[in-house]
Amino acid sequence: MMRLQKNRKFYANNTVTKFARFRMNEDIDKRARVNLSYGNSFVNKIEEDEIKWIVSSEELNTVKKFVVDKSIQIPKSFISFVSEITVGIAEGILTHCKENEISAEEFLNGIIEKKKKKVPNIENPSEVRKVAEKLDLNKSLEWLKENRQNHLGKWIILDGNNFIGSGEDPRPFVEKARKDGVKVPFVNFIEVDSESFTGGWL
Amino acid sequence: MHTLTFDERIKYPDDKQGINLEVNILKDAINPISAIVKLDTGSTFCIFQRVYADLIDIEVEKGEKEIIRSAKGNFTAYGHEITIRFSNLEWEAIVYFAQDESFPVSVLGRNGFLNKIDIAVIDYEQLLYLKSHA
Repeated sequence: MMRLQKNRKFYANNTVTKFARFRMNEDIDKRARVNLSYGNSFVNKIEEDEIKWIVSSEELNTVKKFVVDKSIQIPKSFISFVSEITVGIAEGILTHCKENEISAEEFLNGIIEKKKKKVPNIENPSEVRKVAEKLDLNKSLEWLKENRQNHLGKWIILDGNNFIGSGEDPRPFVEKARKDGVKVPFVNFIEVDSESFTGGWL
Repeated sequence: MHTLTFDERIKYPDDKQGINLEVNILKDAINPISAIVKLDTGSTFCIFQRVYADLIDIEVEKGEKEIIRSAKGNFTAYGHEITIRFSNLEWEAIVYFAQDESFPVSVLGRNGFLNKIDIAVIDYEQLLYLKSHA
């Protein structure tokens, strides 16, 4: 109970509360849960004395839709792909907003304005960054190994090892795949084996 | 005696068509595409087939025009900044999209790929070693 009161006091004094309304629910295993309306309405959960930002899937979709609709370029310190907005990324956005005492909406609108002015939005454009999830197309490569002979001279579109389509123009297949929820379609032109390749352009 | 160390080891397919590497490309953090692209250490630029520009919502002719010389003659391409993701790394780079729809191959060259990362290739084992400069 002492801890709960401490948390309550902490939140009452926290700048976040300037943007937030919250209510306490004391019945969850001596932990306090706070529902926080903050900009785009995120949910915050308290464990012990730490703050853990947790964004529900519904609210995550709101952020994603906002980002996609406005063609926002999210700073690379927060995100690799829009389709991969995770709790961690949302946490980054929220922490940034909290530190700068702005709402999430203000922050996202600020990114739009930067983009309109064509101000480089990425802190270190030439920086090579590590990403959490390693790119692995082994499934697609396995499919190609087994099936490439049937699609020589055509574009093939895959989702992992699931065949989506093949033809002279990959665009309609990719469009359909995205509508069906494929995040990163694999698109490749199947070369004719008998012709070797030499590059080295200047 | 010199020693190089790398963070990642990647097995690439045994393919007589060249060293084919898997990358993700995207523009403005939306609509990423996976592709297999040839490593071409002799190419000054990264060149992509035009269709990839369409798939990541780039208008090819709005980029920086470049006439690129090849053994077979010249071709026109347009430079655009995109994000390239390879293995567990990603970065922004200017790459060129061929103007000609029938341009046959996509390659990863020096600017935008080889000058962004450290790699070593053991081709007889189809192994590529990788680390970032950082």
